[in-house]
Amino acid sequence: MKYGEYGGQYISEILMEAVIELEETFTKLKEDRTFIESFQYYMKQYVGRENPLYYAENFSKKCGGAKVYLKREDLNHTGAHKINNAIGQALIAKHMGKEKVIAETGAGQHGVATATASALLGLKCKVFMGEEDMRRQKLNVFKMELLGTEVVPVTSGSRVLKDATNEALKYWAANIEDTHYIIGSAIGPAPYPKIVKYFQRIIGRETMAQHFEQEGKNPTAIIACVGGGSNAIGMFEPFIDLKEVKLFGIEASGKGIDSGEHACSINGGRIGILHGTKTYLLQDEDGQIEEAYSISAGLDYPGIGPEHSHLNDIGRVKYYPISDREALEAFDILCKCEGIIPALESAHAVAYALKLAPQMSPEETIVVNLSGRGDKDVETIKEYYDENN
Amino acid sequence: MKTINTVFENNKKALISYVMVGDGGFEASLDYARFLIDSGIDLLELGMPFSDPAADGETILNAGLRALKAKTTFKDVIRFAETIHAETDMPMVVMTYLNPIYQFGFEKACELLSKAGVQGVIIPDLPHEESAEFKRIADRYEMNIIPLIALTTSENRVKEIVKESKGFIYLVAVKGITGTQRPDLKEVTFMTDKIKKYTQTPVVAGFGIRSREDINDFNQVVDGVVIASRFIDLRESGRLAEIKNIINI
Repeated sequence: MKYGEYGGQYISEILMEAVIELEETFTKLKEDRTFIESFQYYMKQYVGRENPLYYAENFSKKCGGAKVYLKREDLNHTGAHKINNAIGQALIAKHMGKEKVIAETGAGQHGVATATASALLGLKCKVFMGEEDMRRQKLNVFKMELLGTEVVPVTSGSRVLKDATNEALKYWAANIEDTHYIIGSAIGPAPYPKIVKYFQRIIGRETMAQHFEQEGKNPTAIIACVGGGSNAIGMFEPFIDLKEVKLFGIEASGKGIDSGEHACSINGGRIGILHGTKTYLLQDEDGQIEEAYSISAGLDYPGIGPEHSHLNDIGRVKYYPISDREALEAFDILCKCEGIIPALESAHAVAYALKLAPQMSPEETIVVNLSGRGDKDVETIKEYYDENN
Repeated sequence: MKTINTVFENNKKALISYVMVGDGGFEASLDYARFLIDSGIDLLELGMPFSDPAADGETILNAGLRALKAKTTFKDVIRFAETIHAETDMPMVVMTYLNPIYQFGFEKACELLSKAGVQGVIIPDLPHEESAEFKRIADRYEMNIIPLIALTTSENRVKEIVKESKGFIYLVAVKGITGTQRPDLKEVTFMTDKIKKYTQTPVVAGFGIRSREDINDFNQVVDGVVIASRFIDLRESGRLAEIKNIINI
């Protein structure tokens, strides 16, 4: 399946039969009532869905203009939207009779979510994590270990998320018979972007119903942060065909696109092929992949989900950059006026709401996807303030 | 010009080896290629380095990183091929991941590589299902896209993959990555038989083959073997004489 010219299955032959099997299983399971019900059961009873669509009145006043709602994915078990997909794919693994799962992780959120789903469903789990990321996110490494997962340090390349993804793909190639690879974002070869979107669309579908209940109409605009783009694609899903709803994807521009230290695949990258998919990538002129940078570890991936590349090209979603500094300002405002500590990833979306809301009228509404909570980031933020004050 | 087909004529078994262009610097990697040719290999693979080589183990990954540190680009691979082509009639194929050749421009690459005497490209992350458009372009320049088959490939897909195969078929002989475990002769035999049911194109086994004994074992089944990682390791530790021994006993 392709999204315009994007997507595809650019992977080693050795992985082809596995993704074909996955595609066939998924096609069957998404029509299977028992499977759907078990996913819904865990979403409600275990993850704690549905989570609120909260009208942030103080924050809206601060912005001046449109009413701003927050979709509270941060209130999910494990503290972010990642758990939706991790449980969904762990259920698929069980259906395929695979007893082992692997995952890649950068900041550790997807790793923790997969470790959690594995503990819950009795799967043996290995998480690949760059040595450099393990150093930065010690607490999440320990959490995964507490949950019974083996964290495998990745020492190749630059020892960050993209290298962890490479190693996970290699391990998968060697263990294809008993192992399912749970990719954490809307990236990778088909059918992964489609599967991740399927499990994350619960965000958008709940939002649509909740917004209708509170406002009697659809939102005027929706904002979500984009690294690989799983929370954004899940939030956008039911609204993509509703042209009157404006959609915004927010990329992390780190220290600024011109500085070279950023994670803006669309605003600062070019089309290429990585990790099985054709999409916008950060790369040099010879096609060597460049490292992404953002203060938010969950956004520093050098690519973006292929469907986002397509939605950008056809103009359906606007992708804008938000810098470290802007995200931190928004983080601070949301903490102080709403008593909500957002993940640094989500703070990028909040920052764009601060820009957009004042240009809109009080009859209009904005939904910001608060994809995760900020507990994991407090140390990073303290370091930033210590260094910059 | 000696073609890939002549390498396999009269049931001759091919020994294929690999040089990562730019590993140790452009000139040093050229000298290493000359050494492999002088030692008696039948076909040379030229590796284009990539930052994220998903099919490669530590050895080739690190060779690639060294080559990138030496600022190796696709242009260097072409210049490398031109140099070798001017000196010998050694058949050459280029091994590259898709992104570097895509960024260079696939058509331009085919045109220039073909002029430089390169007869095929091996692209590990371009499976059959994605290859149609690339094949159409490659055909215009008589560039063979060498298909890869894995031990996990189903018979139906084997049939599809080999249908219009040219040059040779690259059988990935292990379930895994380059330069790690030794392939299993039984598994390789089983898959080779499957492939040969559907095509006359020669089958070459690669990944994990490291000794003269391996070469002799696998050549009972396939039409040739690739040794890459093992020779890079030997080169790194200065044991060129051992490479020579493995090639021409």
